[in-house]
Amino acid sequence: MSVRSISHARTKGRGGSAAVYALAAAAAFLLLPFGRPGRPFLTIDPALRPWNLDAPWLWLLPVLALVAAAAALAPLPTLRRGNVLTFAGAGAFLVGTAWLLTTKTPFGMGALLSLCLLVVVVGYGLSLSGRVRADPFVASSILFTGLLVLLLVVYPLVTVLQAAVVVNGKFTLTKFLATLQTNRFILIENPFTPRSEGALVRYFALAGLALGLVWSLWRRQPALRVVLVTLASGLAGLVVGLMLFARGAVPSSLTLAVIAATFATLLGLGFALLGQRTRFRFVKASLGAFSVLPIITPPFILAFSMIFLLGRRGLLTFDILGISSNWIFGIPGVALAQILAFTPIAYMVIQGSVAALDAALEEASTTLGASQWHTFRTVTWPLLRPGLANAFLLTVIESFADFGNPLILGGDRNYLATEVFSAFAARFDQAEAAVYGVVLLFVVLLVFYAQARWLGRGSFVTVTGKPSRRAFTRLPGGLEAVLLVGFAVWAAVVVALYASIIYGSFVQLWGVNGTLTLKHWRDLTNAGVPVFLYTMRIAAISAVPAALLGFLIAYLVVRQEFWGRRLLEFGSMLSFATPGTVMGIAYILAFNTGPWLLTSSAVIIVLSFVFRNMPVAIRGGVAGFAQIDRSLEEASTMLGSSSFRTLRSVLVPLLIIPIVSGLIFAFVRAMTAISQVIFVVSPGNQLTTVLLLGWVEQGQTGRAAAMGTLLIVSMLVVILLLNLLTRRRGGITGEVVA
Amino acid sequence: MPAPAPVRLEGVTKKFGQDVVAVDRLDLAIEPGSLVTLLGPSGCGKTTTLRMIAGLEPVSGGNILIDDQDVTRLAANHRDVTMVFQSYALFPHMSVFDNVAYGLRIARISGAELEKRVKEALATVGMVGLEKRSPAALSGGQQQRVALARSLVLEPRVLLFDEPLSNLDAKLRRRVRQEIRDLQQRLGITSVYVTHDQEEALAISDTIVVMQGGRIQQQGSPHELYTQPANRFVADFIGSANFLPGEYDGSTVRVGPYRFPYAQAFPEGKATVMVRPEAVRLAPAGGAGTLGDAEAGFLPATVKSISYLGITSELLLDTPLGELASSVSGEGRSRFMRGDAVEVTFHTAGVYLLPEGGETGP
Amino acid sequence: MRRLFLGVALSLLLFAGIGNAQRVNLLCSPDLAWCEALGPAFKAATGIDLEFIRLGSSEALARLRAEAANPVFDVWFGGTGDPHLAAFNEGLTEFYKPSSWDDLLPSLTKSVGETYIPLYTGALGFVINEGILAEHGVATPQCWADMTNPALKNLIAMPDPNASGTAYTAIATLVQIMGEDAAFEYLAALHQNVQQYTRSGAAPGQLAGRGDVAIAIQFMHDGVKFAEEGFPLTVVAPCEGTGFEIGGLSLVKGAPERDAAIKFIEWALTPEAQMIAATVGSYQVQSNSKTPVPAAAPDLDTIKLIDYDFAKYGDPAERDRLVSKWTNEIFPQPR
Repeated sequence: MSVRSISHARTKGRGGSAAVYALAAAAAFLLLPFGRPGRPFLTIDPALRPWNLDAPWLWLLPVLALVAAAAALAPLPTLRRGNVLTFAGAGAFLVGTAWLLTTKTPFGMGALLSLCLLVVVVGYGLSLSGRVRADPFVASSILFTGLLVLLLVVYPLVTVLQAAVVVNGKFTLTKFLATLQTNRFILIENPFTPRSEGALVRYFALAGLALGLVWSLWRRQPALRVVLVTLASGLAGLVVGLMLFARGAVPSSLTLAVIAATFATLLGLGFALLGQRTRFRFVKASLGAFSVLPIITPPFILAFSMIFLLGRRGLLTFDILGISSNWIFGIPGVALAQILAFTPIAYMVIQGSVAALDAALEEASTTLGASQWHTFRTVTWPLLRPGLANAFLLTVIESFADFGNPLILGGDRNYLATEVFSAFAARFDQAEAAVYGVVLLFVVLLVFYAQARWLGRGSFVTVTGKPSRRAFTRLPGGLEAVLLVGFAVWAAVVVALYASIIYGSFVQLWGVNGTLTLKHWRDLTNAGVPVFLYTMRIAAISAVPAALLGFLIAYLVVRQEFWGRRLLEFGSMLSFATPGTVMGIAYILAFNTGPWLLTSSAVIIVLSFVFRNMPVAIRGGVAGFAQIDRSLEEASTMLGSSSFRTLRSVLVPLLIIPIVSGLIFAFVRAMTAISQVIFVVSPGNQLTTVLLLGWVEQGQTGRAAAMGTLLIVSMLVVILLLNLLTRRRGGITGEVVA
Repeated sequence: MPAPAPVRLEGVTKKFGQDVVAVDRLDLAIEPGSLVTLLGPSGCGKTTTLRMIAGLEPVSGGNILIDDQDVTRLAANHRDVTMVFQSYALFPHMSVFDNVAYGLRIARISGAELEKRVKEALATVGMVGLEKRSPAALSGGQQQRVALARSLVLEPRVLLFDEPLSNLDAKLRRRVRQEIRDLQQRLGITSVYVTHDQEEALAISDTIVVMQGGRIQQQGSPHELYTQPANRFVADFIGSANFLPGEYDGSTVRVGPYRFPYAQAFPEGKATVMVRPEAVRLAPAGGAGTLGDAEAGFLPATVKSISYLGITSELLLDTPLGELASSVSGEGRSRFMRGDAVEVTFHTAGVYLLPEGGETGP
Repeated sequence: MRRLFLGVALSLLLFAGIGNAQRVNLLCSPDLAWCEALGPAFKAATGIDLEFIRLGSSEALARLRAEAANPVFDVWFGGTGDPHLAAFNEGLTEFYKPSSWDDLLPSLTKSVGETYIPLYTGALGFVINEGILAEHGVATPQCWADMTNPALKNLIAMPDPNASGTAYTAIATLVQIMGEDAAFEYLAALHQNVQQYTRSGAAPGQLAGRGDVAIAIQFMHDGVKFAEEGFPLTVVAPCEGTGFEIGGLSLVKGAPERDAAIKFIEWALTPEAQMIAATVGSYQVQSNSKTPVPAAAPDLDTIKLIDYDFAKYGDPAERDRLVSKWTNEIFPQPR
């Protein structure tokens, strides 16, 4: 049997598969109801059968699908067949979508299936007509992922924007501006203080301007740079002035971000140097373990534990040190919680830069006669700078988006991320919540843009298997001692906090009555465990598409050329940049009514997890593809393989580690997520973190601690399983993929 | 084994973006069963051309025909063409057997047939007994052979080679290239081979296509290209060459004071004289006439430098017409020292006339 | 590839199968333990399934608003009355007159009229950690007036009226006791002693229980619950008089399971159902006059209750006005 005849047969067969999809689309249209009367997905409402609908033009859908099927089977030239498939398929798709959009009827199973199948038909068309230079699988995948990102990331965000500026169906900036003027948002001139904050802020801005001007003139910089430096420095002065004197969510979040990011970055740098160059293997190992902690820690729990350890009656502050102060409620407490949570993230980012430091460079500098300090300033520091900037900006973003810590420790100050929730949940004001969401999104995207612009990339934290690093020159003794002590203190605090959680789950009343009891664990088995198991199920269900879709998008973005490639990448990363609370309100605004009705179901929770956690899988996939020579795929193609088969037989096996870590990461993140799902949980679809928030707020501290312990332990087990799976590669630690 | 297929390129063009033309209206006919080498410096468009034949690179204009069937718009995996990659591109997660079986499995061949064909292919390249190995456990030369077997097992209409030897060391390279040539001739598969190494091209090709700037400079047998380069570029790229200004009067060529007969057809007037280094004859100054006809004269020169290359030595000479490289072998070379005055004449077999300037062929 | 798409289609179908059982969807605003106890008892009594989400009354109202066009919930159980009233006025809920209407405490039914169903009532008060007070040498405050004592600086917590109905009830109570101007002067003085305004109505009691503050201003029944759990807390009713809440029970307009919802409402007002509250630590006085008052519950007969004007102070406009006034004139004051 000749290979040639086989491949020819396959070439002709492709039209046949397109016909199968087109016919299936028509069949789905005829057999299943196109719309549904309410939330349940599988209700068969005779009124919503196609022939009972008062829309004769909807019949264009099956007609066009049949045209496509006929074209697929008819002996047409490939190009013509491709064009007919493209236009008939797209036409049918648009007819179906138009009906959903105009009647605002929630999509039924018929619509869902036939539209999905039509996308495949169009994919065949685009491929055969050469409009997309790829095979049908890739062309369909591009369409699918593009439409999904459009529907589940872009559309909700547009809805939020719209909610902020459209009130009662009319475009108006009144609500937007009114919100910006409330003292919850920002209060500069406080009438109740003798001083004039406005004037002080102005002075700071002016001082910034003057300083920038003097500095840039002194450095004899060109005119344009003088202007830029002066403006930037003035802006910095303004920001510092606002942080010092203004009140409200904007200055609070800014101050918090600057403090948390600065300390986290410094600590991260110290730990990174320590981890690379200390002689104590034990410290290295524990650094690796610590880097996993923030990823597996459920929200609220650590902040809550801080109150018991460091609050006014805290074990450490009061019982040991004798301090009785409420410093923990407000910016200092939230900042500390964030520093504890984000230092590992900064550590992981900086670790990459530190690893890139070549000991030989430093040695070369020393042999050229430079002092240690000079070497640091001229060699080490410039090499570290990008990593530090990256870590700083990343922690700034995390700080702005953080929801759990400010909620528990924020005291009565306002923060952007919590105000989105408060405006929506407590003040019944969707428009105001949308305004806060838009502002927060704007700030975070601005920082992301700065990161991409200055550093050429954004960074994302994940867990992966990672090869161990080679040995390095040691740190100077004094520095090592300081860093070791710093690390010891940090580690002691972290250990104490986690131990305190476990302790809290076994005593009558955490912080009040230390009698040991199993009561909370018994309570948990009644009220918490079913929810925990349900959450596990949802997290597992969502992790698979998150990892696979992320991998597929990475493949499309890295290995395929098509129009809109950058847009697809940007769109899919957008859901990661977007703070969870903003995404949460976006989902409830976008999917509660109309054709895309999804609320009050497990589906919307799963989808929100998928699109929230997919970007990390994308980055992991992109990093993985960078390490695989393209010629492997080309070789597979040359041996007759379709791109789907290449993906399955060559790329998936080779990239199984990034895929599995994407899977585990998506699972763990889904288990610990709160900010976006708090808006979309519904009866019967309760999640542990939302339950946890209720318990924390209601003072069910023991049960909350037990649930926290259960979550942490189970996530640790999951991570350890991953570790076993990838032990060959040097074990698992937190890692940043960029 | 199917009958070998002819390959035709008709006005094939490749543009990257709007203005970068990598391959410019290329016409090429490849005889069935022959091995054609695309030769040229990096960036000349040879690899792009190969990838267009493979289907890995979309064609911007023109047509590609394999076996008289237009495959320009056919996807790579449906062209019945296989390729051996520079990096071999063996699948690292599969054994040697699975690598070779990969394409057969896609073609839905299984069981005994599969086993038989894989065994045959591995036997063809002399790799029997290593089926269970992983590619990482093989030497470079062995990997190369597995890659070849993987391509051959599908009995493709056309076999493509993308610089397949560049990752091997010099000695192995010679051996493997001979094996490839033997195999190709034995199986009679139409092959297109890309390399930037002229020696390699000369050694294995039926036809060499010299490319530069996305265009074909010359195509022909290795002998034709070496002895009758169409232009200065080809002459320079195939072997090495000296270029001297001269004049042709219909029967003799004059280069400075030196005159020698030239029998091939060439228009009278000024010309560029190409001389292969090994065609440069030297004699110590004062010994005029010892090399030939006293009437013909010689080109006076001074030895500028001497590089010892083992079996030959390269002498760089200063002449009134410019620098001249000469390759000398045998005992005689020890007579010359740096700074010596010498008399230069040419073996006429290694001399070829190009139009003045000589940038383009006749 | 065909197999892949088949897989996708199949999993879509699987997805669709999740969570479509018939049941009462409850929006539950009181204490979580109470919410949790309802389901099994209701199922035992009627055989109907019940699922709930616990949201504070403000959040619950926001949720009802967000889903107005396509309600998810059938019944809204518990939570301060003002949001129930607002929901009724906005057309989010409808009034259903239960068969036991005449058995409900007349003082409550009279106050709310035919807007929502009274479910329970409870009075506002001080929840006090005596130990902390003793450390600072301050006597236990008995009256609103005692709370502005400078010795109590940083020792008081109350909810934020922007986030909590409890705090609004406190402001409205003070306005009704003192008159608006005097009330705001009082709030300004109180502000100097407040350590923090919490997001949740029950949080101040926790802070006091843990010793982060000494006094919490909140509903007394929540304080009793915390004390029962073991926190060192006592409960005091202010001598000048105090306001109270009427916990509401509403039928959501357009409820997906209206019949089951009505069955639930009827059941929830029976003494048997209302007695569940005390068993799980919720010591509000239940609305059905036939429900026995638990011993631990604050005795409303001994507390001086003001004649709370629910109609006036439950009006969203009035509420917005007072809350904005507090936000702009009290909250920014330095302390």
